Amino acid sequence: MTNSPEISDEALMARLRDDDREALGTLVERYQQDIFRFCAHYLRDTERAKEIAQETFIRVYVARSRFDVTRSFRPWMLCIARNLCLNDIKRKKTVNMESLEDYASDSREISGAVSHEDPGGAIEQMVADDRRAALARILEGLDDESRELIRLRFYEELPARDIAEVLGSSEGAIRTRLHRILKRLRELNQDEKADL
Amino acid sequence: MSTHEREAFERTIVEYLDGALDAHAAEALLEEVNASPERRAVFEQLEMLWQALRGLAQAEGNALPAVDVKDAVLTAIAVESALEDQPDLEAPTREAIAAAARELIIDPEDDASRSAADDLRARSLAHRDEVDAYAAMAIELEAIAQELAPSLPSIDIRDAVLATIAGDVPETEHRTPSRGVVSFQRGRRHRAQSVQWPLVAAAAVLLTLLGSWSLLMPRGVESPIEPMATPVEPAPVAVEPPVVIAEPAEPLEISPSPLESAFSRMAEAMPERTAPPATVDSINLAAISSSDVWTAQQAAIRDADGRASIRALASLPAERARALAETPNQRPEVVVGAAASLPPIEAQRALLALREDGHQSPSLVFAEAEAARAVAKAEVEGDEDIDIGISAIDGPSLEDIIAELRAIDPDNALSYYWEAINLLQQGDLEGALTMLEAAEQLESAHAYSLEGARATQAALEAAGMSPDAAMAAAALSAGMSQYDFLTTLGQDLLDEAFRYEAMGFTEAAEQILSSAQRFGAQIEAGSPMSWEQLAGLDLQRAAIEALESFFISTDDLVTLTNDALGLVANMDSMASFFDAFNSLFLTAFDADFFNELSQAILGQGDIDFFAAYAPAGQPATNAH
Repeated sequence: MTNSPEISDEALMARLRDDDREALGTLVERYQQDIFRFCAHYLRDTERAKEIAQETFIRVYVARSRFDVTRSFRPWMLCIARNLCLNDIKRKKTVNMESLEDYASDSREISGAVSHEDPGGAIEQMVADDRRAALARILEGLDDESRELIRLRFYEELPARDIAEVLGSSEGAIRTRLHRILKRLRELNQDEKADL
Repeated sequence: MSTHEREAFERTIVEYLDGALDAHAAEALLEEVNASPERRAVFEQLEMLWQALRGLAQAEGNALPAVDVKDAVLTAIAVESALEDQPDLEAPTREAIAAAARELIIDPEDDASRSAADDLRARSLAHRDEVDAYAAMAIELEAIAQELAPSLPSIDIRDAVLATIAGDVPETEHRTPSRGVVSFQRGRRHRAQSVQWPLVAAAAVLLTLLGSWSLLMPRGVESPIEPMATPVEPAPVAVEPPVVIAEPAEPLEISPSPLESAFSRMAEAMPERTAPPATVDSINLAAISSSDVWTAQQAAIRDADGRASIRALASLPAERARALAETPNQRPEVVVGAAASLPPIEAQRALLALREDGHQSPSLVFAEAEAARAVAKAEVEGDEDIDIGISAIDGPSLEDIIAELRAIDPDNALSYYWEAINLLQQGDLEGALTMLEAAEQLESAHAYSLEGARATQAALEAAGMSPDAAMAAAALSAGMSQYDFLTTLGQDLLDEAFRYEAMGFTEAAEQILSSAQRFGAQIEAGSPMSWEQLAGLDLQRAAIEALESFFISTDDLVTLTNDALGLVANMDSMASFFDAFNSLFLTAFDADFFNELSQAILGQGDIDFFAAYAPAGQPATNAH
């Protein structure tokens, strides 16, 4: 989200409807990381995620005339990306079900990243890493729909209203589901502590 | 905090963490948190979990490599646009797309088909989605086939699919270039519009599969539930062979609804299976013997009038019931049993008095709530049966009684659904959906039919009926009034779903219907009485039928179809139970056996009777 922050997404889409391809370029720069990460979480395959991210923007371009500029752009785009990911998963029929933690570990190896927090507190970092690993394990205990909602809320940081747009639900239903998922996570967390 | 309070409190915390509370509401929440250690602990738990999830997301997000697809996107668009502008490079014709699609469906793994489709796809942006839609169709068809295959013989769906897309295809007006790419509609409606043809084909496959299933069902296991009265349907005395309804060997047809084949095996609209008790004003209770009850049960096997007679034998004349209820220091179960034969307002008063005397049990509170509900309904409907000369009861409201029932029997989902219905009727959709979610988490629901039957026995005996006859009449009528109550309550829930749908709240309506289906399953799982379980089956059937109009995606339809097939199997199982149970009464009266049977039913319900007790000569079958 670096370029032209003064121009809203919806204004850029209005320009794109007039075939201003630079507007698309701005939208790509603004959202390509978001879309890539979003797709990567569905596909667990960074190369394929990059291809689907690219395809998402092509779809945005093709569908530009049908975008309702009175609505938010981001959930609309995420809806396109989500549909592409789900189709891709169905097409391949072999979904890599590695855990979020495995996936994150692999991604760290790929990127060479170790930590983005204060390198001075090594012990604190290990504790934090352990907690995250535990939480990632717990997330794997959820069903696919719940994990998707967690991804949209915490990874994409979408508000409930936008999640509702992406998933074709209502804001109230999303909040209710979120509440239920948190309760479930808390129970699983307690179980995990008990196991330890 | 009660369970309900805690649910509401946690939900508010989630809204706070989600940034959905305004400043005033947030301040109020924090004050609440600071005022109570218990609430503070709940708040801190959820807040810690929330922060942990954010931390995990951030860490994983940071771990991903950066990408740059801008140039690739712009180049792809420029190249493809240029190709489209070439006058000598014709876009693929509709026929070519349809041909490629057929090949894809027939053999998705074939390299040549795939290559041709890829070629078509690459040549035009405008047709990319046409090809993708057909490819998705191929995948969906295969998924459906895989899902249903384990329970079915192998069949050939190719012709059905090809017939569906024969015509290749849609008329021009259905295939304007604006269709195709993902459109931003809400939920399932969106899917129906953007992937329309794959769903048409998928529906054809579902129909074909369901049709095959229907033809393959073994003969002679028709659910007795389908002809409305069959749970107690004849069994015309032993010389005649069992009634076998032959499955018509009709050719497979494509009809508008893929679930119709399954629905046709279930009952018609939620029926009045039971019959109200016949008038009992002049009955001489002391003269009734268990042999009379046996004879009445034989009649009940034949028709609704017979069932009305059984219920009449288990009822009291109002004057007698009133005398029992007003007797000082009367046993609580006698009062509860007698109250069932009183006008609702009198019943409510009698049960309230019992509770004011310190008696407390879930079935007692349920009976009071049931009476209060009948009073409220009669008031709304202007029922003249309500005795105007008796003033209204100065007691707890229906809502309060239901809340109390939930508090003293929190594992029974009945009161949760009941309260949700009240909230829906009051327009509190949010609260109702929360309550329905809480209800769905529970294992089972029931309307205390076992306790009700025991109360009936006690009241009949106290009114002068012989112990054997009282026991028999109570056992054989057990669960019938609960069937009426549960199906009426279930219908109220369905009505609320339809009402919200009519107002445009389709998502809420779908949730309510799903809850109704779950409610039915919980009743089926939770009751020891066949009639109560039958109410659960009927409610599930009604909910599934209503849900069909909401479900458009193939995934949902497959799930719903599986639910319907499972329900049909359970209904068949219930039918077997009723057949076996009715067959017990096809012989001459046997007092000892009848006593044992009645005792067993009043001891643990009828549904497990055959598993626990198989008299000589009787098959040890069980509905479940």
